[in-house]
Amino acid sequence: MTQEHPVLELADFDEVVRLYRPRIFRFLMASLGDRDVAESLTQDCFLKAFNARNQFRGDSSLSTWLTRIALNLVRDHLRSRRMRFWQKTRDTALDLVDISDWVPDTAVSAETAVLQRERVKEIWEAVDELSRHQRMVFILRFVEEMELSEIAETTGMNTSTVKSHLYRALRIVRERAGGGKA
Amino acid sequence: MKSDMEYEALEPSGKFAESISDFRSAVTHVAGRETAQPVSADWLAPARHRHRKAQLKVGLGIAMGWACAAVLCFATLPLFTHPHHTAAAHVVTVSPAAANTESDSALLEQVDTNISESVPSSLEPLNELESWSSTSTNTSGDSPNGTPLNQTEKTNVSH
Repeated sequence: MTQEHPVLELADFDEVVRLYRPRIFRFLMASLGDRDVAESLTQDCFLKAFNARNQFRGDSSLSTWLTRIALNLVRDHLRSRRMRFWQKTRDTALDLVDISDWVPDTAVSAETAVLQRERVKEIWEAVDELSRHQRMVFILRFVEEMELSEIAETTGMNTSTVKSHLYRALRIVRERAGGGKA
Repeated sequence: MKSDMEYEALEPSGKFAESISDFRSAVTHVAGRETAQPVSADWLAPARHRHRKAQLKVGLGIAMGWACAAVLCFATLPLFTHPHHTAAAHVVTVSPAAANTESDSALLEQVDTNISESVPSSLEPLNELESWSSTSTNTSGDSPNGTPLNQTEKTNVSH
């Protein structure tokens, strides 16, 4: 996948799906915390990308373009009535994405592995408490590992706004996850 | 100096950085597991179905909106048209009567003007006599010889 021929990049759409589906699904799952919704929105994202493939000019990377589509889908989803219903039932539901079965590096001791899992769970719960913008910026920065300029391009915010959201998100997550002052 | 401080504020370090790194690993692990299976040929079929359904919903929404607007227009139409209609009817029914009244009164005035010409000075005594005659007729009826006085006088005047 090169950036010189953006239209050619999308010519083999199956290859695009194969390469970027895990990343888009990861972003959606981290944003929404629901496996099924993340899968549905991943499909919607690639359908939108396929329908709008002629509009892709290569001004940004294909990954950024797809993430922007996914971000808009998350935004629409959060605004929809279905999501409001989901938010009501979410409190009574079990952990929608169970990350407790994540197996850390086997080289560490069992005690360390338990502590790692506990810390991951705390971060997961703290991220869930963030506002929509803070969560988006946090996930794009620390899960998708985007640069601040990329986040600004994807979200349509100013870089200073991105920094502001990220600063607040980090402070909240640090406080709630019990990380203390870094 | 300020940018370094900003960078430090935006880049976690120590145990907190490790926790975030583990969080990323966990999310990546779950996402990788969920997307491990290759997609089938009709993987996008549900998305297409949802897309068509959403388009249909939007179309129905627009149609319902127009239908509601049309019903509202038809329902409120009499409220806007009724006062004008009444006023018009009022004008149509009242105006001819007023016109007739005006024309009648004008005609009567014209007639009064035409018939109430001043009596020439030479006939002034007769006019006074006629006035007296009408008064006496009203009070006593006929003249002593059985002939109405005014008729006699009129005959004399005409001769």
